[in-house]
Amino acid sequence: MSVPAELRYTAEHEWLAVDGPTATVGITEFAARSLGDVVYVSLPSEGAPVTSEEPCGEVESTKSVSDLYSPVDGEVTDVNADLEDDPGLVNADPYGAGWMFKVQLAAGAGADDLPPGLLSAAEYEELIKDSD
Amino acid sequence: MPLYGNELGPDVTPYDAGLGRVVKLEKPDGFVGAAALAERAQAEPRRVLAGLVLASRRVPRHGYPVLADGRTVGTVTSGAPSPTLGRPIAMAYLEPAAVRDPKRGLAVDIRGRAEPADLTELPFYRRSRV
Repeated sequence: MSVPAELRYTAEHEWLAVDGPTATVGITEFAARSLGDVVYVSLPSEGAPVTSEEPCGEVESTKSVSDLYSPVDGEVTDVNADLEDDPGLVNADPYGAGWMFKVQLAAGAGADDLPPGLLSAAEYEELIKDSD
Repeated sequence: MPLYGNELGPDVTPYDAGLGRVVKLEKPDGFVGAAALAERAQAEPRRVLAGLVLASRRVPRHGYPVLADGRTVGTVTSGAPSPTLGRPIAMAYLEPAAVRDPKRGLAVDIRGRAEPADLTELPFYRRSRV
């Protein structure tokens, strides 16, 4: 199970890639595998404000529907429109083509100033290691 | 096929579920409920088990309301994405009036958004015989 070291993670099985004032968000390979084939992804609108730990969309698989949470506070600047036509990208490439949305971090926040609940790759691996 | 717990339950008659053919009202010794069922067999069905095919990818799940012109006309009993048909499908109990006009547009309320749905014959798919 791949858990890229350069990313940050949440206990809701999402990943966060921080690049300056912008963060890209997706779900982890563990989450994608647990959900099964993703058939629909509902994403926040561009320009919408998101609040950390609050639902901002949903991920529907053949088996279930799960809320999508924002790991950080900020404003959505971009969403992955490719997921509308091909939600299977989430399963095929969860850390790449299956990314979900980008957030402009709230003023003052940057890579060194993220919410305290985020996990490192090692901490996330620890979280999922007994669930395989 | 109707499944107990989804399409079938203590409040559903075999006629509601399209299973009237399995009821033998003329059993020599009768059975519990025979009189009530005989009455239902003659009456207009209170609801009809119908098949739906959705236009979007979102999947109707058990318990979601079925709408016609914004009014609730039934409830989804089972739903799933169909790999064979490439669309989500569902079974639902509908008011008999809602299935009289097959061209009439229906919708399923999927977590607050009305997703268009078309009535379809059951079963959803028959394998073609070669």
